[in-house]
Amino acid sequence: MLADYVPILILLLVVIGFVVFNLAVSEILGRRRATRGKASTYECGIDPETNARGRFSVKFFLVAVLFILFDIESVFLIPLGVNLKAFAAAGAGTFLLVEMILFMVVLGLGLAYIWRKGGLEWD
Amino acid sequence: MDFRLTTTDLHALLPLVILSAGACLVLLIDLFLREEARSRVLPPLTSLILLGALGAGIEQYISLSPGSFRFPSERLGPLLTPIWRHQVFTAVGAILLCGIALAVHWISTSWLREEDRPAYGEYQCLLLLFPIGTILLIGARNLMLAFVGLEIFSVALYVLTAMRRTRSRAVEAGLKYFLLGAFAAAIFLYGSALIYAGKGTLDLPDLGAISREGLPAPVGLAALGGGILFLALFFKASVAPFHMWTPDVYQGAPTPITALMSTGTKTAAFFLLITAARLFPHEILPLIPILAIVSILVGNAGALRQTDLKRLLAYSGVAHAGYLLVAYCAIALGQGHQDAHTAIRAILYYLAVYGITNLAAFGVLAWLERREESVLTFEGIRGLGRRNPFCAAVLALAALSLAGIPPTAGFWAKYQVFAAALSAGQTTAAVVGILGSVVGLYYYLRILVALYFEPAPEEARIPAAGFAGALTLGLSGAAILLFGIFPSLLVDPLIHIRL
Amino acid sequence: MTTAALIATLVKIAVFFGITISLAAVSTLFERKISAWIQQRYGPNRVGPWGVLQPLADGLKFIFKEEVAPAGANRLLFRLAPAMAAAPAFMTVAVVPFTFPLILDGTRIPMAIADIDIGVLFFMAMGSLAVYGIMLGGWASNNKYSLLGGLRSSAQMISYELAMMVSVITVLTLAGSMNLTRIFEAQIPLWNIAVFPVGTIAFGIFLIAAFAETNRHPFDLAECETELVGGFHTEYSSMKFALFFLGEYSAMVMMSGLITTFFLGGPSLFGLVNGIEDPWIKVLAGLGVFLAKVCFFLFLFIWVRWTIPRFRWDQLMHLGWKLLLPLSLANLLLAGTLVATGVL
Repeated sequence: MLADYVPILILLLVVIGFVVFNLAVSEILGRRRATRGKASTYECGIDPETNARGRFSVKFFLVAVLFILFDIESVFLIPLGVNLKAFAAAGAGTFLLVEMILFMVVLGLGLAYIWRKGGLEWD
Repeated sequence: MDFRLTTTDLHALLPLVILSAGACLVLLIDLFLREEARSRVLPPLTSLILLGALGAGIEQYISLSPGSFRFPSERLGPLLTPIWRHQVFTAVGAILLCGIALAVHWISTSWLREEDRPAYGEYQCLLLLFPIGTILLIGARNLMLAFVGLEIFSVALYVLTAMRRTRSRAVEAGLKYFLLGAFAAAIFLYGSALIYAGKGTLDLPDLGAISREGLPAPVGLAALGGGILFLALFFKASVAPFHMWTPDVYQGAPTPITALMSTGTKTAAFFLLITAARLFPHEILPLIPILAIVSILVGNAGALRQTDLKRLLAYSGVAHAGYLLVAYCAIALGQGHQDAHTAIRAILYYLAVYGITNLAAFGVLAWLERREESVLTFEGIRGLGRRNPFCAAVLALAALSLAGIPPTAGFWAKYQVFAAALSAGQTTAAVVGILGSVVGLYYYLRILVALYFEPAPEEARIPAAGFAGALTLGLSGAAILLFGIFPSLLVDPLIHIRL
Repeated sequence: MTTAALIATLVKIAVFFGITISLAAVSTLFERKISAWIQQRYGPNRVGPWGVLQPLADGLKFIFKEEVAPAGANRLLFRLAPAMAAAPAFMTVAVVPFTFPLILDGTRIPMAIADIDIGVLFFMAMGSLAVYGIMLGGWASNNKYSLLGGLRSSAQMISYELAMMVSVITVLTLAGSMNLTRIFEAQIPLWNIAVFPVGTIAFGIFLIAAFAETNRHPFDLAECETELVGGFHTEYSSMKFALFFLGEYSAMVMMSGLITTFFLGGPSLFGLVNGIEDPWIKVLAGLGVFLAKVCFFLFLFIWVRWTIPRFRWDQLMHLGWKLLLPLSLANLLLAGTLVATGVL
């Protein structure tokens, strides 16, 4: 069972090796001649005014929170979807369908709520 | 596997179904109706939903008590059996919590109208989510389901606490409650995980059977998990070392929500404490009387110094959690089932009475509350006896009942709790409890003094209470007296409680 | 794990990972060639005949270029970001079945590096991880353009991930499994794209979301040259920039492979390949069919980039949240109803 995942581990090692090799090779072979102008951040030729890590719009946080909410809800849909065929074959399809409809109605209600309350607007 | 829901299943879930469908309906109406329409439609609708759930709970109670008409079979179907307990215990919990939510809804209608931006819809929906979560917590046979319930009602409470989001105090309270509450929920989950690691099951009766007398006590991971689990519950019930959030949050939250928190959360937490009593690690059992004593001391000492009534009631809530723990000692430490059942009945009685009393007290405060918060102090209620005799009478009754003075229900509640503790041999805790009640007399009587023996300030506008609010106050005041004079009215229905 | 299995795994990694990287490299050339063709230019034509050695020349040049990191950058995260952006796309290779399982002497060797039962979950997990590289790169550079690009990009990716996930769940419902090999095997009689209407709608949603997930036109607001210079990789140079680039193109290859697996029957071709007797020829033919389908989608990615103008930010979010998400949910409900009632 767990042996199925060993190839993923091997691939992970290969990928890490590939990425590290690529980063290292240019660090070693690339030439370096640092100047003050080069080290300053790119801002279309103007000297940067302030630190870039300031506050940004709360909208992005909202999107992140909404994403987490809906992502978790959809994770619950995965087992429902995967098993639906087997359940239908065993004669319990209606039961699972009703469950699914109830779940998705609540999910849809949540979406409608966010929508009507203006959580999806970007103006 | 059989996937049919039987009629018994639906019967067992009826209060939850009504509440959930109602919450969704309220949310929909909030989305698609205009402001004025909402303010007219939503309050009666919410009352209707809560009354329906209350009725379903009462019906469950009747059909479950022995000797009454029974459904063809009260055994649950295959889907619900592993996760739900269809018992008088659950029905009593459902009745209590629906009743509390209904009363809170009624005392908040006039309060809500006073707000700058009354959040109809959201408020009612969250208020309906509260009993859903707590009933889930009470009826759960499985710790996972209990956790889901805990989260539902906690999240609803976090939002409700910070509802008046333009006020710094409300935001502070909401944030404090949210951070600490989320932490407590995480601790609960962590405890369940450890119990699962130690025992391989999350089924409460199974877990109880594992640690019953004659069998080895839970050791290692499970014991640690049990201990951690109880920390989270003690936090929710605001037992002493875990009570730090209580005064600030009670003060900052809208008054009806404070009422909900102090009565509903405590009720739910103690119900789960009762069902999970056997999970308590034996190594630290002697801690329970100590916690009870600490709660009583801290609560009473804290309340002595308060001038703000909501903070005073918060500390008094800590003390009351201590009194409840005194009876809880008898369940956890007592010998045999007789002690345990006496104590369970005492706790349930106490919770019911405490709920009614606190609702009355906070109901009056919600009525008096105006934009400026200084009104909810001893200053603010000076001479209320002449300004508004009805309010003053209810608040006085509530204070007497909280103090445990004889003609009120609070006396019998305290009596039962201490009697249960004494009969189980928990003398120290009981004696400290009685002494604590004597100390408590001081600040409860201060309320009476302020109400009746101090002159009223010059300007004193009292906002009009709606019919529902007045009705709630009248009913709870009457109930305090009624159950005080005829305690058997409330004792008898609890006789059939079995775990 | 036996030695034989280990060797098989290593061979599969070498072949499939190699194919992915080469396809990604080749598509950088084709990107330029096709854009030139669409715009009536020549495109790269100096390095080798028809410019075929251009990717190689680019790679060599990247290696010898100077590394420049802005003064205020967070050194560790600045280095980590390109690796974090590229690695998830490479890791997705693990679960994609490139061709039919090889059946030798009764043993079935699945032609995915790891034929796991939660392949779909793995793909989704890797897809979510890709956000980190971009977000880290944008933040670590200490450049306003980078930060804005990183923010936009992460918001966009998580928004479209929802619709993508729900449309994948529709596929799962149709197939009844999360194993990618089983998913394409279930489509041998009828490709999911032809399962009207649910499969077709899910395909459309997945395709659109795939464009957004890979930050491709018309959803390339993360880079958005006209307003954000280069977006999250403004400050990057040399091989670090190349890794971002390679990661983006590998993600495109992987998305094409997954669309093929989910909706176009993977390596199957109307039962033609499936019927081949000889196991080796069947595997090779399947690989050919699979790669042909992948190349078609790669062409589509490039074609769209040079044809369609970019969305505005609010339009992009509205499309994701207000159209694709409800549509995919309704579609899933329809699929569920059809499956549960036995129609499908």
